[in-house]
Amino acid sequence: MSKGIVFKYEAKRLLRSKEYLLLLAVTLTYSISLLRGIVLYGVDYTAPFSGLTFSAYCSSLTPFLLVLILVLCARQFRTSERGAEAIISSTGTSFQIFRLIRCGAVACAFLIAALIPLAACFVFYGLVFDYTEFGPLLLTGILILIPQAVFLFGIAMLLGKRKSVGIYILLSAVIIISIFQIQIPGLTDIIESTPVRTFNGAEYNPALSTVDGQLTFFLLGTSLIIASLCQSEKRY
Amino acid sequence: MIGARKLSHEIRRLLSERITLLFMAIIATGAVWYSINGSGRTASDAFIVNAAKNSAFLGALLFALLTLLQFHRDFRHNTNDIILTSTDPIHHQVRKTLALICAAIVTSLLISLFALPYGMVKTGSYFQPATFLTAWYLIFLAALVFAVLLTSGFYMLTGHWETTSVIMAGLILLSKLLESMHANSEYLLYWVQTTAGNFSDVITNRFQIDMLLWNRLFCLLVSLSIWTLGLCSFRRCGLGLFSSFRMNCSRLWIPLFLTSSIILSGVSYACEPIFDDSKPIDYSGMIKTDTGETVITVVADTPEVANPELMLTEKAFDLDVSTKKRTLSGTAEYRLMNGSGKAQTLPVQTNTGINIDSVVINGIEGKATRGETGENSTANWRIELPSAYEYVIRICYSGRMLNNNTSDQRVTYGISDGYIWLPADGITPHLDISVSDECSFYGNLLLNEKLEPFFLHGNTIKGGTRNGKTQWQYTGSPDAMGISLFAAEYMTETFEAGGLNAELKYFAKHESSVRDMDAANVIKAAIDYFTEVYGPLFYDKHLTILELPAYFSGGFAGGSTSAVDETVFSPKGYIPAESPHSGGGIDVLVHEIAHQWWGIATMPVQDNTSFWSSEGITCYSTYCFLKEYLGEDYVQENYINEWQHNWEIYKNAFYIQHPEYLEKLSDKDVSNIMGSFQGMKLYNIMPLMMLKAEDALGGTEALQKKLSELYMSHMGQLITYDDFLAATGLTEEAISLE
Repeated sequence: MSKGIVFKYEAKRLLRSKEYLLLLAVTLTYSISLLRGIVLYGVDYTAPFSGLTFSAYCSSLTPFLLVLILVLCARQFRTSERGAEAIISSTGTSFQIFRLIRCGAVACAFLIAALIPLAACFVFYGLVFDYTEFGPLLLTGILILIPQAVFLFGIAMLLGKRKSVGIYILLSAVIIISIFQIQIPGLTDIIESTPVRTFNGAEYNPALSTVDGQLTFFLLGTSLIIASLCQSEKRY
Repeated sequence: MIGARKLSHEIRRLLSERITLLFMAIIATGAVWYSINGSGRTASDAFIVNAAKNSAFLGALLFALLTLLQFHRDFRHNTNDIILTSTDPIHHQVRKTLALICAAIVTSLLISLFALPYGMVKTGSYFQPATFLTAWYLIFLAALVFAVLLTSGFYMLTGHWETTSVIMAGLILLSKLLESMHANSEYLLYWVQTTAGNFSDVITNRFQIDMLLWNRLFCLLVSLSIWTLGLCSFRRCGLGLFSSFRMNCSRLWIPLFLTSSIILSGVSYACEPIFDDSKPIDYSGMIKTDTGETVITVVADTPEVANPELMLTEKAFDLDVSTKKRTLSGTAEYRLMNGSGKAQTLPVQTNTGINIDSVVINGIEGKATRGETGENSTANWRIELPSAYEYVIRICYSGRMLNNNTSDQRVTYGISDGYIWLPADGITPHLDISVSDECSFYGNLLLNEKLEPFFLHGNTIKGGTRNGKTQWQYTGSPDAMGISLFAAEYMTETFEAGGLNAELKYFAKHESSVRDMDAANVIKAAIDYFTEVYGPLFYDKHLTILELPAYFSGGFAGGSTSAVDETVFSPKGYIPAESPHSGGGIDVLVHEIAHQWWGIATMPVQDNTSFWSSEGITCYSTYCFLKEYLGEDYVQENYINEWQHNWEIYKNAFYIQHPEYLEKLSDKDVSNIMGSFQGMKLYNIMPLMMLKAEDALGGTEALQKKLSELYMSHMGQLITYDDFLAATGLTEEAISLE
């Protein structure tokens, strides 16, 4: 079977799964309420399309998207999926390639889920404010949403290979931090828990001010994903 | 008996599991942490209510997880089929749910072992058992029970633990996120933490408890509906959803229970008894202050009446308030003149919870027809009057107060055994017609013996006892017809200030605090200062400072009364404040007193072109007094720096710099956005402009002299911005901050 067909099949399974659709619906509903609320009014009296407001919008969506990627990861390590892996490992397809395809499908599903609320925001900007300079905002969005997701994805993949319950502990941690709005200091702030604000009247873009941190998250996450793919497989 | 034994065995098994004990320990630790690190506006909030609300999230999350683990356990261990064939599957699910609810009760009891003595010690004489029970049992325990019912219901319904966990995480997050959404959210939807807050330390919290009880009833019915739906859908061996549903429903009690719980959920939502169907208020006339209080700006024009052809010449009432039933009933008699002598329609307004039981017009029975509900809990009625030049109309009415559902779903009006707050149209039906200057207004009020009534305007004399209640005789002027009635166990301290008979009416439980902070002397100093600087308040010989419950959040001035909420009288440093700039205390007290000069005795009127209003000049007056009373450093930090900071924000604000973008938005959004600047304009920018006026005129004294002239020449009149400029001799440019 060609890798493309397997990828399409895996992606379709994820995109049609109940958990994915449910979380996507919740994320979209919340994003619409954010657009009608904090985005329209502008954070700290800045423009609705300011970096600050857009960062606040993306940061508010982060917990939902992180929960989504962890739930998708957890799906990969279900007993039934592991059983399927045992069968696949007996076929000619390299197991690492199969894992890579599955990771790709998860990444693809996540990107779609992340891009839909971003696109909704851009459509909102275009329709309501005739604002179309999306380039810098897109960069901000990517910096806020992607590195943390890649980092958590990497940890989840590594944990999932050993004990899938680890992913659920991670999931619980993300939910607890989000619900209780626990502020995580500086570079370790993986879920954008620090409130976005202005400093001395000057606009502050948290995503752009911590590019180093975001890059570290991204690189660390990528390394963890590669490590999880390269690790020898546990036999069932 | 066998069922009870099996249940007892299940409970013992659950409570002996390490994971259950671990979760209980984590929740208890969280509850202790939240109690110790609590904050709030009142001691009850800081040490009891907020701790229970935060713990409810932790508890709901962990009990949802525990429920999921328990329900999924048999499936995970592949013992599902064995267990379900050896026992009644429905009873087995019921037992598991009940056992988890028992674990939730045990957790609450365990936490109470710490929370009760801690709350008692920290709140001291303000401790109210009802507040404690509400917080830890109605909020916290109920959240745990709902988490168990919802999780088990969704698990049985979907058969997937992953889907259930996503749904539960979403529901818990939703309850949290409702707090931060801009739109007004239904209080019934806050299923974890509820909207409880601003609990009073000194009077009953019955109004808030009413809301919580209804919230919990609705959530319980919804949770039970989902749980029963899950029980119906619970998969029997080898059967699909529909076959299992049919099989489970063969026991008649299950579909009956499901149907009744769904119907009752709908009924409890539709028949919500605290809020009404008021029309949304036009927010363009409302402003939010820095302290979070909402105030209505001075109304410039005399309100028009619906039928000016009719004139009220006399109004008398006989009102009986039952604190036991929490209702009121009364009779009001009106004398009216009809200039034309033709048949007329009499427009009558009551609170939405009041019903007009009967109407007698000149001795003949008439009929009152209820029309549309207006703004702010006003029910509009219509009475058709026959042709006559004079009428004597007798209206019998009764009911229970309802509150406005449109603002932030806050209970303001109501009757309880310890506190009463009735709006004007809740005391007697209000006739929307002209009122004669000589109109007499009097009545009798029957009230629980321990309560003392207070009308914002007029005189009240204690009479005898009737039907085991105290009778109070009230006499007021036509101005007093739009006033509210308050009743509580008050203490009164009277003193002379500024040539007036001033009185401080505070809740009896606050006696030591009021004495400790020397509140009467602060009030006296403020009244003396304003009298000396601006002139006397000769429109009334009495001035009352009234204490309000914490839920009012802030203060107001109306009639010859300045009212402030109970947090003003809290001892300094007693309660860990939520924010160092949360305001309150002496600032609010002095602000509301200053409103007697600017807002009541004179009416600085807001226009749409300048920042002028009664708030700006009142803030400036408060600043002047506090500069003398507490010193330069205090006002520099708490007033000038704050005003300048907000001016910077205002002038840099996007919609102020680019008003063209407002044209692209809806009227409602524009109103809300501009409304968010109102507080800055009135409370920060105008006072800064007054400081500039000080500089232009040569100092504080020079400006105050001009303001005094303005005050004396406009007593009882509106003051426009032009009047202010003319009185001070300044130009707009001279005091502009640009």
